[in-house]
Amino acid sequence: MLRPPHLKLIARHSVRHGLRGGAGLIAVLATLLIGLLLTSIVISPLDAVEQQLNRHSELDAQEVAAYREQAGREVIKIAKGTTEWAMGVSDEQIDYLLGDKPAMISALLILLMLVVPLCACLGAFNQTSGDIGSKGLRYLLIRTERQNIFIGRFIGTAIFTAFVFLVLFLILALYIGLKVHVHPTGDMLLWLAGGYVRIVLFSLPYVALCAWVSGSIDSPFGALVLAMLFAYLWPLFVFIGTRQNEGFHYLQYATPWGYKWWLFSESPGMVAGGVAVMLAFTAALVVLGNYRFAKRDL
Amino acid sequence: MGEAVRIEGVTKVFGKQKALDNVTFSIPEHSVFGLLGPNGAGKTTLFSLIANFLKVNAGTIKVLGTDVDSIGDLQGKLSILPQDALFQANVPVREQLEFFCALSGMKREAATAETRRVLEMVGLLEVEKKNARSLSHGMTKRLGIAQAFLGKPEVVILDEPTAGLDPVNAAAVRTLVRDIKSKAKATLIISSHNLAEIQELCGMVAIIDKGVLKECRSVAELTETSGIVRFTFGKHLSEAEQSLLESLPGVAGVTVDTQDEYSVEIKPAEGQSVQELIAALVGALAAKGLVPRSVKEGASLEEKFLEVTKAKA
Repeated sequence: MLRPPHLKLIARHSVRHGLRGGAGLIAVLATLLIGLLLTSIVISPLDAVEQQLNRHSELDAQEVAAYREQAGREVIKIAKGTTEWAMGVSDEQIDYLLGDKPAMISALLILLMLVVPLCACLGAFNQTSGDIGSKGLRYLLIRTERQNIFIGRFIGTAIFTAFVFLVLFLILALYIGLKVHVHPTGDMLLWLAGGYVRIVLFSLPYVALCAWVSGSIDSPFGALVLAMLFAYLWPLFVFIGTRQNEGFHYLQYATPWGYKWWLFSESPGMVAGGVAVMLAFTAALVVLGNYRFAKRDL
Repeated sequence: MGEAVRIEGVTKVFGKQKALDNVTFSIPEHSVFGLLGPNGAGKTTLFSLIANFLKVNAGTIKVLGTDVDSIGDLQGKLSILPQDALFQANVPVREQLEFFCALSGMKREAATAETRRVLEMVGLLEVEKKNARSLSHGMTKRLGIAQAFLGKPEVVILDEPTAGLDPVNAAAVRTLVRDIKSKAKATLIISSHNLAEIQELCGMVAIIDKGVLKECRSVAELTETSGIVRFTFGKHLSEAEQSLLESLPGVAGVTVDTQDEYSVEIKPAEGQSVQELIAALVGALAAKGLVPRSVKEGASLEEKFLEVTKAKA
């Protein structure tokens, strides 16, 4: 029987101690490192120009503006290349992301989307497996139903993952707000906020996947490897298969990876569909994981 | 007296290995029950099945009339000191116990008070703010016992509560169990390799060997062997002293149980009661300067255990 007070307690305990285990800290640091690394790729031309401008203080305001405009164009060129390479979607969607929305932020979000499964798995792989291995879970098993432990920890981990991405996005918002003037600041921050919500939504099925794998085996490392293989091996298989046969393309829809760009569509209906698919995958993986967790020896 | 636990035809298989094979017995309410068996006999497996950590392959287990599959209905009524289960290493002791209390539905103040009560009971109040990783083995064991007595459990399982403890800590745990036994109305189920400890604490025992139930009786019934009296001398008897004991009237044989404990087979003379013979033997020994420290009727549980499990050398 699901007990909301137990879910709340277990989720809160899981969030509170997310960082203390070491793995949580690694997840935070890895996510920040990867996120900032990708950001630096996108905005490095701007930094380079700013450094040059600092060295040439004799330039007048008009020349400085010209340099900055050129750097902006360079950034948008990188954003366009990145978006087209990563997404492979319709021209309308590309135009929407690069024309209607701040192109630099779009490029950054799209690059971040590619590493969301990695970051989510790093933060979520040890939801239960470590405690199963150490038998520490037994102190809880006697006090509540298994589904409360499983779902409570999933909720806690999902909140923890959302928090980790929030830290990253706050750093990005601060940096972009202060240093980047390629697009209007308000537009950039608004799109960044929208991107944050989309990234958290895309991370949910992977947190649920980790919950399932972690609840099924006793080794945290094994759970991480299995979850990562599932997250990236299938898209790689589809990618390679599609080069041989176009029909393979449809196999991408077997995992959340195949629907990720729906979240960045110009069509609100498509975005809603993407949200629904992410939530459906999450629910399905939680149900499967919970079933396995409820039946196994712990 | 009702049944606290009913185990009916329970079988548990790990791969191709049968850990428990069609085990059936029940544990009376408010009793102190010992579960004995050699290493790998299936004791911990049975405890894990009772606590629903493991799932049975066949059979049913009921605690206080409730199937353990519905473990939520036993919340607060059943508790366990699991063997080798680790606490969260980097979380303070008090916080862990308060979390368990909160799961049992206690409000913050009640959880704090209850946590202090059990920590005080096991003498760990001074380490309440320390992380579990900084506790010694003995302290961790006592913390395990403390969590098992949070609230008012009706059935408490203690899986080898004194294993790995030094004599001082082991004695402290035994005293604790005795205290609880006298104060609480809970049913205590204990496993231990220390058979003297089980004999001292428990009223009933079950002996399991290779996953099969061999005995389930009261300790008195199990150790009741007419004609056996156990003498403890506090020292190992020399050959001459042992011969003296063997030569006393009414003594049919002597077996060395441990360093200082001897099982004496007695044959009272006609018209003489066992008590009279024992008194005569103690008197005769005392006259020769051999004063026994204790005299107990019946076989030791250890002897019976070795006989049942056929492990006697």
